[in-house]
Amino acid sequence: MTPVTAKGRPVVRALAGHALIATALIVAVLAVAPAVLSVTALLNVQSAIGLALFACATNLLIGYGGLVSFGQGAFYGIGAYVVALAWLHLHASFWISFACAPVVGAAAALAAGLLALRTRRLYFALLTVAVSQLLYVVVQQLQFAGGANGVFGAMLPGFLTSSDNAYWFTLAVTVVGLLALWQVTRSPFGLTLRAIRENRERAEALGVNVFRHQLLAFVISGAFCALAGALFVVYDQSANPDLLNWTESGYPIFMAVIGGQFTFLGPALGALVYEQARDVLLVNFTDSQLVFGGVLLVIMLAAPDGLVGLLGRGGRELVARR
Amino acid sequence: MSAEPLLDIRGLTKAFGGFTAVAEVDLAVWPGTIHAVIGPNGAGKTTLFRVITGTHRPTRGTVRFDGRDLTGAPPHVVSRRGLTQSFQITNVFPRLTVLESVQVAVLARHRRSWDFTSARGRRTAGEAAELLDEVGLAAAAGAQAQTLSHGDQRILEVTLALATRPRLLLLDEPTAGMSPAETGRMVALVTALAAARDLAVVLCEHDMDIVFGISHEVTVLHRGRVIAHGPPAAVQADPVVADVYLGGEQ
Repeated sequence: MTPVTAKGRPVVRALAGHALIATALIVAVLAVAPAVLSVTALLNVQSAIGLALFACATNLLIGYGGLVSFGQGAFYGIGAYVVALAWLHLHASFWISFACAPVVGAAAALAAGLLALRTRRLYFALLTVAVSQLLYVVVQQLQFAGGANGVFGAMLPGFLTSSDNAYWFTLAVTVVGLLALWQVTRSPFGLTLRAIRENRERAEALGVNVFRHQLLAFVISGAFCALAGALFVVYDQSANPDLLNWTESGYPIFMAVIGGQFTFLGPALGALVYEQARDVLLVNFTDSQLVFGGVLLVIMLAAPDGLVGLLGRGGRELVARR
Repeated sequence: MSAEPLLDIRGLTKAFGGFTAVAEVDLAVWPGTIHAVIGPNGAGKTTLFRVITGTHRPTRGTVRFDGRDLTGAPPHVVSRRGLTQSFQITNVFPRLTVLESVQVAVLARHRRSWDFTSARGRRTAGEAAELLDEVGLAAAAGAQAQTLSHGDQRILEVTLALATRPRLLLLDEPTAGMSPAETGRMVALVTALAAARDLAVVLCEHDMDIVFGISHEVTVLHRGRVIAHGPPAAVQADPVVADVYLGGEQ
């Protein structure tokens, strides 16, 4: 949310126009990537695209709802397990189980949300960790879910065994998912959600049922996190307990912080940057986590609105100078 | 005057542990009137407001509004029945624009905050803009609420409450921290609204000039109890009131 003054409106509209063109350009470049990139590099970008959906779905809660959930990895993992387990035990069609993943994610989020949203702030964050860690531990004990090793195998249909097709499929699902999430954020529901983030008591006093709005946001986020988890199967042909771990829940939060949590596509940009930067860090530094921590700290201090905030600031100056 | 008060409070008591903040309070507010609740700091005014609006549950007693029992109803339900409050501290949505803020209230009233299809709903934007026109904030529609002056934030605060089309508006110290000019603007706004919209106003205010200038009825609280009630002139002349309250401060 860029600061808007009555006078500054045309600037914002111009910036929004630029953002739209920039987004269309990025999608176009990503769409032709298979023609240019090696199979390994393409797989890397494919992973980042899936994570972009994960990050934006998580940011519906963090950036728009002001609900810091450290448990979104649970829904991401559930999405992957739905596809993998349906293949392993039911020999179900991939397409059907893929479509079911967000539905199961939504149902799980409804149950978790009913519990966690009874609390606020830190307690909410801790409860989301608790729920996802519980799932993480339990899944490792379940023999039918492959225990600690998870489920892996040739679970993709013939069409997706082509690396180019798998890439385009991931890109298409992510673009459609992001468009749906974007519509949520700009709808009356999205506005009400932001109002709750800004001032819960005030929204309540105006007749808004805060709990139900937050619960629905939690369910929507859970559904799209699960969809991103199903895309992980397209990337990795596996589902494993680590997807449910709280460290996995941390990635979309990092991405949102890096990219900018108060803009819709900030977390997506954060995902693309993070995935590339992580490889560079891993190759060049023995203590890559330490360097990463330092970079994150600098971003949080110097650019609390993330990379998109920085770009926006630069863009505003450019537009204003004209 | 109608036969039944719009807001009818009987024997309302709120205790926190061993401390009784509000004790056996009766209060009747009639449609279209301005009713001031005054009392020294700690008299229980804010607690009384919070029980009425559902933020606190009463220990004993009943709250009836518009012929229906509202005792212990949660804030969003109280608001939907037509009883809305404006807050003592400036209480807006800092990073929403002024127009967006009012839209949130309009959407809540239309039960359209569940809408996923439209881009914020053009109709509600129109209604919100009209309201901003009425209160004189139209020029600031695109500004973030946190960038407004203190006085304008308080006006926005009241506008948010108005956007829910209340039949009764609770104003908790509407002029606190305002400059004399801002205070004048707020007082003019409140009296105009009460007259134009047949709106009942319950006002908690420290400025006695305002209280006795615009109220139709005054209730005086002291240590959680009602010690006087009546038209402003009668309350002003009441020796008990002068002793515990007005004499102490003025």
